[in-house]
Amino acid sequence: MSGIALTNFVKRFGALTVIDKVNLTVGEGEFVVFVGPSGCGKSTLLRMIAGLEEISDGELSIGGARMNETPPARRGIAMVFQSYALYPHMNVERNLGFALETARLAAGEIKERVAKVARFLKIEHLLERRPAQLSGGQQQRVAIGRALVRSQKLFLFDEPLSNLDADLRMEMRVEIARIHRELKATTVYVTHDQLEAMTLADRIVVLKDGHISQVGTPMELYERPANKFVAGFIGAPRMNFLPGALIGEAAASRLDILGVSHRPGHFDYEGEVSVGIRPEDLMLGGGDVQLPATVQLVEPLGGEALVHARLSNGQSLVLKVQGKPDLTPNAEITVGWLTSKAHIFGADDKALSVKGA
Amino acid sequence: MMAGSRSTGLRQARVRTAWLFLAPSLLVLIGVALWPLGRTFLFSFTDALLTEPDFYGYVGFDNYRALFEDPLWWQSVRNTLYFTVISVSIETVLGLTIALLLNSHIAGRGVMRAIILIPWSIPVVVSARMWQWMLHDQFGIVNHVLKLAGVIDSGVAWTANSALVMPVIIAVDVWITTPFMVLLILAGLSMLPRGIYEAASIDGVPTWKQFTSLTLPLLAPSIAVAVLFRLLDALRMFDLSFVLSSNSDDTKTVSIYAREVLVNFQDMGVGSAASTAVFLMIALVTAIYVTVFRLNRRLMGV
Repeated sequence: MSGIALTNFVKRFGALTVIDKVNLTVGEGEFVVFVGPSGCGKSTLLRMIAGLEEISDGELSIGGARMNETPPARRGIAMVFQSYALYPHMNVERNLGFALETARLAAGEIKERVAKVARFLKIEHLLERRPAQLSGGQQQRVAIGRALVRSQKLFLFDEPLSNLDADLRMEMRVEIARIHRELKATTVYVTHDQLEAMTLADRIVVLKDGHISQVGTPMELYERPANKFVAGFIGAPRMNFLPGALIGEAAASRLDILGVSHRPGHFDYEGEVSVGIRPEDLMLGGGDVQLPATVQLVEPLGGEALVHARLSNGQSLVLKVQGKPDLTPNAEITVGWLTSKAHIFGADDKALSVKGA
Repeated sequence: MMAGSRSTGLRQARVRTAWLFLAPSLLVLIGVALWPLGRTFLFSFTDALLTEPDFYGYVGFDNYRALFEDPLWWQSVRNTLYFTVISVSIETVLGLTIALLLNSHIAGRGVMRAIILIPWSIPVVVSARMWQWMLHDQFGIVNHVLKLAGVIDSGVAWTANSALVMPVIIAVDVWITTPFMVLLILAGLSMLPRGIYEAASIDGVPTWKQFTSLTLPLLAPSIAVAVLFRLLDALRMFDLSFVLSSNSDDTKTVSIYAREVLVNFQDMGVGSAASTAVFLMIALVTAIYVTVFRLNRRLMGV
C-alpha cells in the first residue's frame, strides 16, 4: 500500500500562495513525474509529500492513511536530493548504512544490505571513498543507493539529474528506469526537463504557477495537449504557434491564417485563435494548408535537420525534416501541414476540438 | 631547447617577484618578532639588569636554575594552566550552545548576534575595571543585589578572598571571551550543508543523533581553531588577573611573574628566562594540540 492521494493541497508562504488546491492520486507502483518551469511549485509539492514542508491546507494520504502530521521519517518514503545531500565526513559505506545504523540493525545485516545495494548500483569499488573523492555521477549513484537501502515503498526524486552533464544524465535516466522496473516502487519524480519526463513517466503532471495544467501519459500530453502551455512545454523543439481566426460558417468553421483559408471542421468557437503545429509535423511542400516562407538557417543534426524559416508576417518557425534538405538561406519555400496535426487554442489558451469528433 | 630555457627564465622572474612582494612583511616580522625573541633568549643567559642592559656577563643556565627553583614560578605555571583549562572549557561549551541557539531560526537573532559581541569589543582592562567595581565588597552592585535577594548578609570580598579570586577571574574571562567563541563557531555552523539535515530527517535520524553524528564532527575543525586561538590567549593571560588581583599569588600567571621579575626586581636575566619559558610552554602546548588534533582527524577520517 503505497499509493498517494493529494486532496485540495495548498501551500502558502505568508500571503503568497504557491500551491493552490492541487488534487492528484498516484497509483501503487506508478512512476509520476512533476514537470514545469522553475517557480511552478513542483519541488514544493514534492517536499510537502516528503514532510519537509508543512501542508497549509488539504490532505495528504499515503497508503490510505492521513499523513499531514506524520514526521518525514514515518511516512515510509526515501528521497534523492538535487544536491545529493551526502554526509561529507562519512565514506560511501557509512553513508549508505547510516539510516540502518540509526534504526539499530545488526552490523552484519547492515553490511549485507549495503553490499547488495552497492552491487545493484555498481558502486562496490567506491565503498571506502568519501563523497568529495567521487565524481558527480558516482555521488548520484550513492544518493540513490542511500534511498534504496532502506527498502521503502515510495521514492521521491527532486531534480536528481540536473547537476550532471548530458552523457551522465542519459546514463542515469536509464538507470532510474531500470530501478523502477525492477523494484516497482511508487515513484514521484520532479524535473524541469521535459525529455526526462517523457522518457521516465507513466504519467506526467504539468504544473504552472501552483496549478496542475494537465495530467496524462506522455503520449496523451504530446498528442492532445489541453492548453497552449502544455503544448509549448512538451516536445522539443517547441511547438510553433501561428495567429489565426476562426469564422463560423454554416456547419463548418473557416480558419484564416495569414490570409490563407481552409476548413478544418466545425468548431463551436469564433474569433482569434492560436494554431500550434509541431516542428516534426511541418513539411516542405505538401499538406492541407500551405504558407510561403523564406529560409533563415538550416541546422543539420545528422539524420535530420532543423529548418528555421520566416513567414510573410515576419514570424519565425522551425521545421524538423528528415535527411539534409538542399536549402540555402533566403531560399523561398512552401511550408505545409495536415489539418489533423494542427492544435487550435482559443483566446483563453484552452485547446479547441472539432464538434462531434 | 629555446622554449625550455625561456620558461626557466619566466619561472625565475616569478620567484624573484614573489620574494619582492614577501620582503616587506618578512622584514617587519624579523624586526618586531624574531629580533626581540632572539634578544630575550640571549639575555636569559646573562646577568643583565633592566637599568643597564648594556653591561652584562654570561652566566650559563644560572637564570633557568633560579627560575625552576622558585616555588612561586611553579605556582604561576599551575595557576596559568588551571585558568586556561577551566576557562577555555567553559567558553567552548557555552560558545557552542549559544552559537547553536543563534543559528536556529528564532526571531531577533540578528540583533542578538550584534548584542552578544559587546563584551568582547570592550578592552579587557576596561572590562576588568568595570567588574572590579561591580564586585566591590562595599559598593559593588553584585553584593548589593545578593543582599537584597537575601542570599548573603554582609558583602563578600570577591577579589580579596583567596578561594574566590580565581573563580571570579575565570567567570569574568568567560563573560569577555565567550562571544569570540560564539562568533567563530557560528561561522563554522553557517558553512554546514543544509541538505544533509533534510536527508537525515527523512532517514529517521533523531535530532540528538543528527547533532552528535553530523553537526559535531563537521563542526570539529571550526571548534578546534577557536579553541586553539583561546588557548594561546589564555596561556599568556596578563591584564585580567593584573587588574582584578594584582599582587595575589593565587592568581599570578606566568606572564605576570615574568613582568614582576623584570620590572619590579629589575632582573633582566631571570625575567628573560621566564619569558623564554613562557614562550616554550605556549609553543609546546600548541604543538601537542595541533599534533593530537591532526592524528584525531586522520583516525576519524575527516
